[in-house]
Order: sequence, then C-alpha cells, then structure tokens
Amino acid sequence: MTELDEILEKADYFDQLRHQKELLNVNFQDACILAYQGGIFQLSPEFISGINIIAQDCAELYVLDRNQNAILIKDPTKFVNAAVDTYRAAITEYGAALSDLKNKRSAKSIIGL
Amino acid sequence: MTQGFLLFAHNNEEIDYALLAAWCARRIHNYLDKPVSLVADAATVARLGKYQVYFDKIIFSDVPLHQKRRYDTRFLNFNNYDRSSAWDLTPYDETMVIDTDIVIQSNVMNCVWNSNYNLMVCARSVDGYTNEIEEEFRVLNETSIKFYWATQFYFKKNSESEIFFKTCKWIRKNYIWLSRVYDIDPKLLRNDYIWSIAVHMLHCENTLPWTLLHSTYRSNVYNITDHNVILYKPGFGVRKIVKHDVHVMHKDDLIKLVKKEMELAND
Repeated sequence: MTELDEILEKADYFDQLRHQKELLNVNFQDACILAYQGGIFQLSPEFISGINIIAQDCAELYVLDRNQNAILIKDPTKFVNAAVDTYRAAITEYGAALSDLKNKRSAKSIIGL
Repeated sequence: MTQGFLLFAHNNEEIDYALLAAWCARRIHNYLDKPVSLVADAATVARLGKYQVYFDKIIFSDVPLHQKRRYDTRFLNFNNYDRSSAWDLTPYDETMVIDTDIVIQSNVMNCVWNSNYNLMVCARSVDGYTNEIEEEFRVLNETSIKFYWATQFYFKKNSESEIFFKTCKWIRKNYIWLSRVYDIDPKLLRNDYIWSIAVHMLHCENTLPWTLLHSTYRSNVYNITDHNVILYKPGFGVRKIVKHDVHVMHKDDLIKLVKKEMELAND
C-alpha cells in the first residue's frame, strides 16, 4: 500500500465516521420527540430542567411545544417524569451507538459490507 | 377517532407504483402498526393482485391530470395530482399521507396521533448522502417563499384542514398565474410547489417534528434491509443510513430492491 492509498483510506474512514455521527445525532433528535396531551415537544436537558423548576407546586401548567403552541399540561410532575424517561432512553441509545461506532476502525467496518 | 395512513399510487409506463405501495404498506404494518388505505386508479389496482391484503381499504380515483416529466434520461407520465383530494378521499379521522417511495425504518411517525394539530406539513428534509439541505429544497427560488414537501403530511378531517386542501385545488387550477407570482417554472406542476404556496397563503406553518432524510436521483441505492439503507454515488462512495426513514427518489434501483424484498416476504 502506498502512502497515498493509506491517506485515502484514512480520509474515507474519517468521512464515514463524521457521516455516521451526524446521522446518529439526527436519530437522537428524533428519539427526543415527546407527544403528550396533544402537544409535540422537543426534549433537551434545558427544557426538562426549566419545566421542572416552573412546575413546582403547580396543579396544571401551560408549556410551549415545538411549534410554539401553548399546551395545557394537567399533571406537570407526570409530564416531567415522562420527559425524563424519554430523554434518558434516547441518550442511552445514542451513547451506546456512538461508542459502538468508535470501536469500528475502518470505513468497511462502519458500512458493514 | 380512526387513524391510518393513506397512500397514492398511479402506475405509469415504467414505474410500478402498485408494488411500491404494497411494499410501503407492509413496512407501515411492521414498524407503525396502523391501517393503510390506498388511493389508486383501476389499472393500478389490477396490478396489485395478492398484495391487496396489505390494505385496509382501496379507494378508486380516476387520474384527473397527468404530466410528462423528465425522469433520468427519458420522459414519463406522472399522475399524482389527486393528492389535493386527500381530505375528500381519506376514510380516517386522522390521516398521515406519505409517498410510496419512503423506506420506513422507524416508528417516529406514530408521534402525530391524537395531537392538537389539524395539519402538519414537512418542512425539513436532509440529503442522506451529504447531511445537508440543498438550496432547491429550502426555498422555491432565491426571491421566493419557503419550500415545503408534499411527500408526507398529517391532517385531521375537519373544517380547518379542509380549507388547506381546497386551497391546494385552487392553486392547481390557477397554477400558471401563480407560477408568475411566485416566480417558478409554469411547465412543472409539482405537488411540493402547490403545498408551499398553500402553506404560505394560509400561514399553516405547523411542521412535522422529525427530519426526513432523502436520497436524490443522483444517488444509487445499493441495498435495503430491515434497518438500513446503503446508498452509492459513483465517484463519491458509499453511505449507510441506519434506523431512519429515507425518501428514495431513484425509483429504478428502489423497484429492483423492493421486488426482491417482496418475493422474500413470508406473510
């Protein structure tokens, strides 16, 4: 293998790695969607902790969903729990997929052909 | 509230949309577990044969209009203009309409059901090869309005969503005039353009929450399995898309792979 072949192989590997990371992130963002009481929410740690603070001692609460519509949440504690569960499942899958990807040391093993 | 998917299929000289619809319905059953209805003309339904089992209902729709369009190196007739009649044709209270050339590999579309929304359109589709949004899929042109996809959309059957579909029909009828207003090619009547104009006119900007990936005619499809799609672009290499829905525009490759998958299907 010439030096150029080696460089091209590495370039291909880094290109595949970058592409797969970006796709995993798209999958992660989709896994962070929570449909709840008619609203569709995009979850993030900031969103969850913000709602958690605002919801203290509230029997019900309006929360803006991803299309900026105000959704009346009847039981905010239950909503925060559902958001935490969804986010935790999404980040766990994302983390596992990323570490699996890092163990693949060639473009061929990433593609799996 | 009844919920389900609605597919449209009208075969042309070369592309077997009946087969694509059956394959898509099978994937909907596997990944999303929802009923699927098909809107098709009599000739396309006749091609379905044993694959009719994948459909909850088959709704006959005559082709109101067809257009010869360039497809790769040849010109083919495309008959997909009854999509604006989705509201009239759907048997469901809540309907998700999708193209038959979407490779379903996830259950993300199930998040739309029981929402407060009357209509949600697709605003964001990323090229699965480059992970970027091409300029032609951002805006109709550089001085015009935002681009929305008619590839997939959700609606509740009520008077609010009815206005959207009435507007789409009106746009279709007045397309030549509107093409001048929005500075688009009057010879190319695209559902995506009709949708974009209707969204712009009615300000119904509620969008579907996920990112749809697409692969254009310029990317070949090398293989499709239950959880991944492998794309290939000569001179650029290979891309693998895992557990994410992909809108595949290269029908020649797609149909070859779909035929193989449906022959192996054991249900």
